[in-house]
Parts: sequence; structure tokens; C-alpha cells
Amino acid sequence: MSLFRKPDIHPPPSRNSNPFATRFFTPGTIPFYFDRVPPVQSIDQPSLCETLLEQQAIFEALLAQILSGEFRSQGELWDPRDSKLIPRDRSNRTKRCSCFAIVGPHGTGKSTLLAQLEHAILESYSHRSCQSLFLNSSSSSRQSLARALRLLKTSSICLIDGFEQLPKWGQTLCVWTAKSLHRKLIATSHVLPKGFVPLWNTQMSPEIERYVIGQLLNNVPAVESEDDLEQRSSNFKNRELLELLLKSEEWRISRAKHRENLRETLFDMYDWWGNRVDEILGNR
Amino acid sequence: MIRLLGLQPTYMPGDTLEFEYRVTNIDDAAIIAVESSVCWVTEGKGTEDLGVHYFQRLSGNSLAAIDWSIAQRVACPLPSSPLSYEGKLLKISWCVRVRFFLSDGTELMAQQPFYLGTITREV
Repeated sequence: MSLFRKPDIHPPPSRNSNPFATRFFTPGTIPFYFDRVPPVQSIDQPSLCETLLEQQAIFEALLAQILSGEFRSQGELWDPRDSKLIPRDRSNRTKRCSCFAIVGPHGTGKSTLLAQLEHAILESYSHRSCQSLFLNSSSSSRQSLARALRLLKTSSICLIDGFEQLPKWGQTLCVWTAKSLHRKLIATSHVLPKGFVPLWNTQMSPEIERYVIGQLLNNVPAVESEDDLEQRSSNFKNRELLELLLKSEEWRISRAKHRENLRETLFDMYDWWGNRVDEILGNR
Repeated sequence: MIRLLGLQPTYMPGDTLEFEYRVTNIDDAAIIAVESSVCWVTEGKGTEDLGVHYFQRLSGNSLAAIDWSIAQRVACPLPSSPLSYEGKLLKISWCVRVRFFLSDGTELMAQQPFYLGTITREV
């Protein structure tokens, strides 16, 4: 199972590509990074989630939870409304669930994780019908609800990005429809919608920031001569650029301004790169 | 493996883009569809755009008649716009793409960028 969603629709990056262009971090382009182990399932080494295999293990555990529809009520649960961990139902029962939510603030990777789940479901479980829907403020809430209900009627696994765009009564109707039609509904939202269990709470951390920036800087083509390339690994070059960016004044100001929202900072870094590209690449 | 043959790095508006593609190391019976396309995409900050100028999908009977031991030819006239552009806020890139869909769910893709018009850069 691949962690990536789909082939890039763009031509390969050119020497003049800005690594902070939207194409490089649109949902589904960079694999979601799990900076902690979820309390909902067991992993042999619960304190480590750094390697690709561990990332894969966490991801597959979440996926298995969705497909089995079982939600084990043990351990702790993240409550985004209070931003704290709360004890789960201590009875340690396994509940049947239809609706799972990816919850978190703007720009923290909700859509990225949802896109990755969609890809994995389509790739590995294509016998089940799976469709996704992106809701944004450009459609009326009534139109959005009609699209969501149509999706629930026609697909056994429904993914809805931007569930908070629906009115509260519409959200309730979707949950009721999913349960009565035995559908799986996976949605992203800023707060946990009623009737959903939290699948993952996205939050920003310096570790995730470094990971995302490192991934984006991988798109910077080599500018050295072949001799230089032999002597310097790509990781080293990326680390050099990564440190340069993380120490920049623009990064510090943008992170302070946008806080949790990394996406907005990446837009700012597009300008930073555009203004300083000659200086940055000229020094390498 | 898919190879794209005969593409030029630059074309002018109104030129006919001609290329061939050849596939090797793939069982003919495993090919269920082939898509070839010529498209442009924007790259920059914020919302991006995509246009498909030419698209051809081969599947079913049209696929069965193809001899994959020889290169397949594609030709299409190019439009007058959008021209390739490389600015700070926006880049416009043209690209040829061929995708093979196999019966085991695998998807193979080959793509090659080209310039439409004399490349324009921000000054």
C-alpha cells in the first residue's frame, strides 16, 4: 500500500520551480506525518513513529479501524473542544461506529490525511464503492447538504472534506443517513461533530513543520556540478536549506502570525523563495 | 516501461505536435486502457489551473487492434495560447503524458514537458 495518493498531474519540477508552489503541498502530495501514536490501537513500540514503517503502521491501523467499523473505547481521547486528553469509557468495550472525524484547525493536514485515506481505500479496497466530496463556502449550505446526502446514498464509504460547512441539523441528518444505510462516513472538521468518533486530531508541531519543509525542499533540483553531486548527498543539501529557512526572519514572523496554520506559512515562504532564490542557490 | 519519442523541446503556436510512444516489458494482455494527453498546468501560489488540450483514451476493441511491438503515433495541432511562461507568481507549463492502466490495478505513466512559444520570463 502506498502512502501517496496519486501521480502528480504536473510536469516534473524544473530548475525554476518554486518548492513552495501549491502543487507541491496540495492534499495527497506529501504523505501525512504522524507525530504521535494514536491511543486507539496498539503498536509494538508506542513511543516511536519516526520511520516510514512506523508511519505506515499507524496509518494502516487507522484504516483498519474505519473499515472494521470498530472503535475500542480504551486509553485516552483527544477532545479538540477543550484541547486536552480525556479518559475514554473505562469499560474497554468495542463499539460499532459509522462516522469518523479528522479534527483540527486550518492548515494542519486534515485534508492531507483524508486524501491519503481515500487513495488507500481505492487502491486496496476498490471493491467497495468510495467517493469523496469537498465542501467549501462557495456553495450554499443547502447545496452542500444535497451533495453530501447524494454521496451517502450512492457510496459505501464516503469522505467529506469540510463537514463544518453543513448546518448542524444537516450534519445530524448525514450521521443518521450513514447509520441507517450502513455507510462509513469519514469527515474533516474543525470541531468534533455530534455522532462522530475522532479518528485523528491534527495539530502542528515543530517536528511536523520540519518534515513538511524537508519534503518540499526535496523538489529543489540540484545545481552543483556532477563532481559536487558525488561528494554531497541530497539529504545534506536539503538540511542546509532547511536550516537556512527555519532561521530566517520571514519564517519566524509568518509562524508567529499564522500559528497552527502551516499552509498560510507555506504561501509566505513562496514569496521568500522567489525573492531570495538567486542568493540561496548562488551560495550553494 | 513507456518511452516517448520524437518530441521537440519547443513548439510554436499552430505547429503540429507529433510524437510516438513505445511500451516494453509489459504483457499486452494486461493492458486495459491507454490514455495520451497534451495539457497545460499553472504552477504558483494559491489556486492552480489545468487545461487538457488533447485527450485520447484507448480501451476495449480499439485496444485489441493495436500491435504494441511498434511505436504508436500521436499528432495534434497546438493552440495559440496559453504560451509557456515563467514568472515569479505564476508559471505555465505544457506537457505530453501517456498513461497505461493494467489489469492488476497498476498505472504506468510517462510525461515530458515542452515549451509552447518562445519562453517568456519575468523581467
